[in-house]
Amino acid sequence: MIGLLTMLALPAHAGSADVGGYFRVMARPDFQGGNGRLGYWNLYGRLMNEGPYGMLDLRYDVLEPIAGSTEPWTSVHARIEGASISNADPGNGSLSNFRLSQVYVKTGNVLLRDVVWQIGTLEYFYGDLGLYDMRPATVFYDTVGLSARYTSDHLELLLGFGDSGYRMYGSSYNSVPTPGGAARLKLGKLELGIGGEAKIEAGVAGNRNAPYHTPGVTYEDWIRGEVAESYLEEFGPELADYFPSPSPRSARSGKLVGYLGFGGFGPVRWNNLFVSLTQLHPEKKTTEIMLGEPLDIWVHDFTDQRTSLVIGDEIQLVLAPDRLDMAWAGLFGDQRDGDNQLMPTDFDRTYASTVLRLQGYPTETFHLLVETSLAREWSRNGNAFREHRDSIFSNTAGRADTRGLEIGDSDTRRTWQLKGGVVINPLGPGIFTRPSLRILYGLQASNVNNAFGNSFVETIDQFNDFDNTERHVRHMAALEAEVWF
Amino acid sequence: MRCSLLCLIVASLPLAGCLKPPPVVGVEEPMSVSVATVLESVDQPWVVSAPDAVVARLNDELVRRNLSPIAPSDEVLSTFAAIRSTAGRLEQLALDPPAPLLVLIEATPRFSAQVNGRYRWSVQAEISIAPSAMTSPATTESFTIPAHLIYSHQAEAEALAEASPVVARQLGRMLDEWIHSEGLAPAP
Repeated sequence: MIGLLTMLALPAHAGSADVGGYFRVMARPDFQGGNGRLGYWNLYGRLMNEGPYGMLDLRYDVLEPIAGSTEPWTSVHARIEGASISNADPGNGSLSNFRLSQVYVKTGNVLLRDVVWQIGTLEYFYGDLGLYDMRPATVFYDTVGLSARYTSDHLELLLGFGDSGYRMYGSSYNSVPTPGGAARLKLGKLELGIGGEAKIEAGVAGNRNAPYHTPGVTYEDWIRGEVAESYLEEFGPELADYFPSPSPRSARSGKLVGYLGFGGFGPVRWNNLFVSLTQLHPEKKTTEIMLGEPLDIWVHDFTDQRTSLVIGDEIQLVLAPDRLDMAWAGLFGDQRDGDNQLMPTDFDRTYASTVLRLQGYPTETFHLLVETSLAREWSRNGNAFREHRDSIFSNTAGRADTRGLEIGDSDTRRTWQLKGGVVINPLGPGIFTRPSLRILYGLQASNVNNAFGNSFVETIDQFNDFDNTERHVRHMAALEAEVWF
Repeated sequence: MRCSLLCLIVASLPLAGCLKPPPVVGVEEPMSVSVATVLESVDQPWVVSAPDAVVARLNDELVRRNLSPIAPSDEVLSTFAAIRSTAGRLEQLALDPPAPLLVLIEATPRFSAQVNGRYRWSVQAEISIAPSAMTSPATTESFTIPAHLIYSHQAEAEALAEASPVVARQLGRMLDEWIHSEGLAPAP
């Protein structure tokens, strides 16, 4: 990457270079023992719930396109990004927090007119829920390969094929061929889109990185981490060497996405509706210790029925031109795990929230912002949240679950946030106009105790040197800047 | 006391937004200027006039300097799709309404990539100022402005609109330099 930057700086090259990027940095002094974020995650709106971020996006035109010409052109793109900035987070801006997330080469006017060929990373999305910083309708997020994108006045069509194995497994790579595509119909003030991808991981006997399942293991033993213990109880240590060998499987997963966009009438600037339905890819294995040795338990059949439905909508309204704008978004998620009827996890829950932001413009560059959000998260398999500092002792019907499959005393987390403050936008009005320099105050109320990232000691053991606390209202101030360039 | 101080600070912040911009030095005598602000596509052969809001914003820079912008005729603009050189377009512009000064603003937005939820465009802009009599060479400056659009249906026109504050500032600076170099500013 340093070489690429050096190359871009050299005037001798004929092609043009373009460097853009994004930075988000903030100071949120936290007087309540938290990690500088108002709540746990973006479900309550991205504002004050996200940490710092940095990104550089580079484009170098090897053959620059000529306006009005059908001559071939080609460009190379690279992106470096990461969630750490010095003095603003625990990573302190270390480059180990950054990665080369995108590299691809595009070329156009080759073989087919209006078709852009791309080889490299292939990520494609239909749009963004700006208030959540989420893009449910995304395909090829994990994939490196080849795509062809046809664009006309009314149609955009993307077809791609690649491999997602390295993104999914890293050094435990196994090939995951990924075909997919996306279509977008553009009808002026109305847009429709549909797309999807499939991931197919074939079983390869003998390849220790391929999918397998260990026979004779019960789901409850696995989720409790007691497979080795149960085996030894049943068969004794003398038969430890006869623990069942895994049998190969073929793993499949996929995603369907949909998009509806409309706007440009009355006060409606634009509305984006996204839907995604994902069949999650099965997991590979977990490890326990049996007689002092690591024991791999292959879990394809325990993790192959996980689905995730996400529906998100965001509308942007101009309530009073150059005086007041509004953005309103909603998000619903339903995650199901057909294998798990026992333990509350993030794979078995529903959540829903709404976020409303108003931004007023007393002057061209000085703005006022207020945002509120309301969220509900519900665990399908029982209690997953602690409402009180001593809830570790209680569970369903007030009975302690000493076997530990439930956590806390509530299956629901309800969160309300209110944020407001002043914004300086040097480039003028607009909820999503950047750069933005903000001075904000945020308030959160939750039924869950200490519902934010923290370092509290949760045990109420008598030998706990650090007392734990009961807190349901949280508030903090923020000084933050966000810029696209 | 602490609360009062906080209220005072918050109440005074809007006043900071009322800073008046410094006065602009214009030409002493009103002058007509033939101004063409054109938008062209990299992918398609069309060349059109920039959106009205962008034209108004850029024309405002001229008006503030006592310059009267005159839009070129459609006939002249229609020749720009075939004439791709700045010099050639200036010649066409000089043929149109009789104005002593020509200002040509050419903007070519280009889609670059989808980037973390936004649609990154780069707007290649070129501003040229020349006397219509061509008694001296045109002053031309090129620059690139990033535009990060939030919706997929937004395209060249929206990219230029987002970049227009920067284009207007550059145009104003070039006009100031031209007025100074030509000695057209009123005596201090």
